[in-house]
Amino acid sequence: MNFTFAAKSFGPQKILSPISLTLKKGKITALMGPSGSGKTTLLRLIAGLDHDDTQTPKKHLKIGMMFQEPRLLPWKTVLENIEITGPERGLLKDLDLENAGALYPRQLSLGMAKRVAFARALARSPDLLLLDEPFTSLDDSRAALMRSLIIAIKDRLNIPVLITTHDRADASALEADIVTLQGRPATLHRIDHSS
Amino acid sequence: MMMRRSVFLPLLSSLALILIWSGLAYVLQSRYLPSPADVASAFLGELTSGALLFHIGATCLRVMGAFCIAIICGTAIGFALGRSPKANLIFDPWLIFALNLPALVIIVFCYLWLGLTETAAIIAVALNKIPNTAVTMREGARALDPALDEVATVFGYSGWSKFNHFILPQLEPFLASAIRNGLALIWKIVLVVELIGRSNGVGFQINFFFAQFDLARIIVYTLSLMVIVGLIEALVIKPWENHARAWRGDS
Repeated sequence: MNFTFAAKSFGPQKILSPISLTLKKGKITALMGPSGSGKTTLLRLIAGLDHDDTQTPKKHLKIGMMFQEPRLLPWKTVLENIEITGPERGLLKDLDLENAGALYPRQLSLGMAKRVAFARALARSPDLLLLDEPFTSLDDSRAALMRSLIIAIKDRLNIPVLITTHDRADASALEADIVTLQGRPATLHRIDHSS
Repeated sequence: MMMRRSVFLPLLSSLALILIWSGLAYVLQSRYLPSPADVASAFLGELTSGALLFHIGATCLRVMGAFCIAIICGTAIGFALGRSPKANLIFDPWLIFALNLPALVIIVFCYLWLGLTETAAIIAVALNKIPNTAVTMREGARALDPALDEVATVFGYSGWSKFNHFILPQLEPFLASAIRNGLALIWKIVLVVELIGRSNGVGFQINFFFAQFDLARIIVYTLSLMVIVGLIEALVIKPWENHARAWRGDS
């Protein structure tokens, strides 16, 4: 799955240089770089939420996306939030949320809300999974649970997974291919192996 | 204890009002201030003759017709202006003009242009309410969360399903406010419309009894309509509002 974008600017400031990124089916790619390097901007370009400077048309893919903030619909219960993208199919149990189905987002901790957002992204049975800083605000055990789920999902669905993170340990634990954004405007660099 | 107090105090206050009214009517002994007993007697007379139900029914149908038109059109206009800064820039002066147009002028113009007809009456009332609804719903549309809009986009929602799942729930508090204020305003304007150009309805009856200085019957019709509007508020609007706000945990 190849994504090619022209440069991306915000006003006079050029954020990203022209970028070409290939994502492989059944592989996790970790997009790394310091804060403000353009990781989320690139993720938004891939998701079709933003355009590059030449208005490259977006690919028509079924995307499952987890934003940095949970962005749950506050008027829907946890179960309803998941089911807006597809059937729940045991995701609540998989994510240790089996007793939370009837709760509203205001009743959840940030960590729980992030797991619900993850379940919502998966319920869609996506062609491509985009996860923006999925492990922040999660305690170690829940982060480990989510890492193992990400690995299981990409194997089961055989889809490419792109995550943004600034923690190399996360990328290593996921056995992910690593690409980094460096410089300003940022250019994309592929690192051969996560180790 | 709190529950009993919340019922008891308003009841006591209402009883006190009736007592003061009775006392004043007894002291003044004037035809311009009928006693509660006179009003009760007039109420029974109008009820048994069937006039009360007939005229209140006519008024309620007009209220319902005008209310539906005003809420649907006002919501559509307000939503469009709230979502499009350009449209708002162009049409905001129109909205301000419509907001400041006296109700009576709109009623007179509708009757002159469309004749003394039912259509003219309902349109006149609706036109009076549409600008208020549009202003409220414009604020609602401006308050929509762009982050949730992106969620809808990325998960492939568009058109009606996006409106139903992502937009309407955010608009509901504003819609509830528009509906509540709309009902309160519309039934009052309907009375004026009926007084000027209809041959039935509560407004027509008030005008009729005004000519006969029959204040008891004017009070009967006014209070009856107020009770019906209060019942709609309590039995329809409030429960819907509570349901719509259940997720906030503050209802």
